Amino acid sequence: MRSKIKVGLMTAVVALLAISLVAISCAPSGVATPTAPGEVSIGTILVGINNDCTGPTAANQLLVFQAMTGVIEKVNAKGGIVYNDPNTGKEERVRIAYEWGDDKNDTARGAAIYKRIISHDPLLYFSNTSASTIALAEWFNRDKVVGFCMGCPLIARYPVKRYVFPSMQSRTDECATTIKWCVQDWQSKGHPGMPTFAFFTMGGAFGESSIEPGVEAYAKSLGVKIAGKWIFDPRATDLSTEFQAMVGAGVNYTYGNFVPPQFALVCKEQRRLGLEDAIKVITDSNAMWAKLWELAPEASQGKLGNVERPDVTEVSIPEVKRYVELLKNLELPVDGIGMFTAGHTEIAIDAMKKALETKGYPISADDLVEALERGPLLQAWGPHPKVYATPEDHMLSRECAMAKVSGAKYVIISDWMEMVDTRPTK
Amino acid sequence: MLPCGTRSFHYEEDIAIVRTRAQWGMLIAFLIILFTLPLYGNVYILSILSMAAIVLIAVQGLNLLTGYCGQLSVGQAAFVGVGAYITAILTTRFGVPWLAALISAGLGAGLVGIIFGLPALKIKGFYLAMTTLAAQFILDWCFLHLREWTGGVSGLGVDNASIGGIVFASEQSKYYLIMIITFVMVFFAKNIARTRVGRAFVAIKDNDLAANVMGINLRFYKLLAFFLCCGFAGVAGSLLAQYMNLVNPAQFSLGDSILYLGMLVVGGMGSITGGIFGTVFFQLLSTLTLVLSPLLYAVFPGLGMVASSAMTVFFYAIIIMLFLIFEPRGINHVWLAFKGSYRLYPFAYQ
Repeated sequence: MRSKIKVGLMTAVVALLAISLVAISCAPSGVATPTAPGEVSIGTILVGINNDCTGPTAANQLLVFQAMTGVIEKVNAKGGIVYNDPNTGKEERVRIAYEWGDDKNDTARGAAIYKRIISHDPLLYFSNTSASTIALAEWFNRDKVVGFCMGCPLIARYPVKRYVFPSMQSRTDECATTIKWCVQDWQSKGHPGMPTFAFFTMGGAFGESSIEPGVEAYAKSLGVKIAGKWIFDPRATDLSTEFQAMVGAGVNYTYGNFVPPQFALVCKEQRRLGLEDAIKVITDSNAMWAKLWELAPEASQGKLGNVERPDVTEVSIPEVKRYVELLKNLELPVDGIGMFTAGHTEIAIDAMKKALETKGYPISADDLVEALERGPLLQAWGPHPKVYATPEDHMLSRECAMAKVSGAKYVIISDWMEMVDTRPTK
Repeated sequence: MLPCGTRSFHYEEDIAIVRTRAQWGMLIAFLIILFTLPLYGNVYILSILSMAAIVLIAVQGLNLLTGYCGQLSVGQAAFVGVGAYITAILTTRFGVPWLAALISAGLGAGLVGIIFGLPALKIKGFYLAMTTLAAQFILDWCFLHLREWTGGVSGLGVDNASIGGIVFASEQSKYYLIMIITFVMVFFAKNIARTRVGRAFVAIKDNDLAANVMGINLRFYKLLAFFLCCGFAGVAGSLLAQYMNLVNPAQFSLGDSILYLGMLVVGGMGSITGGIFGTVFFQLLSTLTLVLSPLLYAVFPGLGMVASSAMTVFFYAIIIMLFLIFEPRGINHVWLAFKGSYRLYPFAYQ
């Protein structure tokens, strides 16, 4: 009986290997979404997507993927990208097809997915995880594929690569701008001298992405003392050691890159230890969304964050209202991550349209790069923050503001600030 | 079991890797297919094989330590990282030629392996596994926090390998480079296994006390096993660095170390062929899961994106569990049984 099971197992193994070889060889060229009935398109633009639908940061990233593909499918449902073709002189339509892979925020998997998709000649590639972007930033340039990097490690931004566009805020720039705001806040309250600052963040590539020499150099140039770096395991449940150490070091402000569950823990621990007035803990925009005040409804109140878009409740801004309706139609949670992603996807599509209206179909990666660099780009979230790229800096998000959690939303409490540029000078 | 009619008249014939003309023919045909693949295979297929070959080197190193010498290690990925970072630092910061960096990566990782292998002289089994686990965490911390050398979270960019003016920039050229080095390393591992050193390793695995009594220097051979294992890992890391044009701490996680062990278990510990089977099987399985998620979602949109992605991981884990339950000796054992049966045909029996 056991030998029959073994034979069966080996047969299954051989069959599995055979299926693998066939599947690898015959992987589909793209997930084409249909046009509306009666609409005829003159071609298709292929977009590749690396996303972590499962894995340690999937809580955020799944919404990114759903919002992104939702926008693409909505465009296709209306007939695709509608533009005036300079070659035919008529109004034409081009569909958008996308091919994706789940990289589980793993560099090797991200690279493997890219190698599979690149053989189908995509025009644009969305790299939605830090791990993938780290691997792909150079390859986009080598393979002449326009890369929109939502995960934005420094390698995607510096030195400027012709085909790479970091679409997410630079975390180092965010951190440096936050330090600048902390100095203003400290001095506005009448405190003498300069505040003491610390990095307080969760461990891992994303959590530690702000801890770069550029930020430390900027802090030093302002005369701000950095007391230390406190990095905790994302699975931690007790942060009393870290908080007590920071109090002992005289820390006034901290900054860290968090996702909502970890920042909710920070808020709760700070409240539990009675240290809410002693240290101002500041996060980046990845934590400032609905999940945070769902997980820590009381502890998160008054907490500060550096954000690069208005809150989804600011429906007085027409663009925000439009995205809220879009996310509701897609049956997705109405939150900052979805709005942010939908906005950047529309910016990419708008640039494709501009390139099509300039050159006609088909467009090349160089045509898309020129459209992105030439601008003006779609102002996805209203007049602020401004979105632009130049040949000298492909960064698409350059403005941020400080916000405070108030109820089930955040409120902007500062002016919109141009982000400090922390790129190395050589 | 040798093919029917094959006999050895000399010791050299007895220990030869390739014995018969048929085996030579198959080997040559395999090599021809392997090395002509870039002419007709696409970039994706070449990338799968290149990564499999790199992983194979690391797994064979682990095979020498764990499969042959019986010393459990759960830190192999960290030693791959050591080799990768040595290559990156030497080539980008000091302008060392790539080939010299490759050799240095192997030697450097081997020396680091000796340091973490010192506890093996006193402890074994579970306790040794904990020590190598500590190596994984310590080296991980070093990769992340020795920013001046490793680049921290961002990692280090690595130029393409070049040897004698030839730059290996395209997927095809990298494939050839990786395949040649993999072939050499696997041949080296096979030779270690079938000579005095390999026999000493096996004796230590079977009963280290008896091996010591017989005159085998336990200290020397255990440390040699660690040196060879980590040396292989270092070479794999060097190849990985030039292939990805990047080294980054996220590439060398505990999950990867456990995966290498898994490859060894599924393929069959204690044989070079088993390492090959396990690596190829896992790489194909991993690639299948990558392809399967979008396919599942396209065919069953109601399943949802998360479910279709997560099911592939579930599928992966089930395969490993089935192997551990029903064939703990690995694919190699089944292959040997199959080979024996067809060589005995028509007298095969169960």
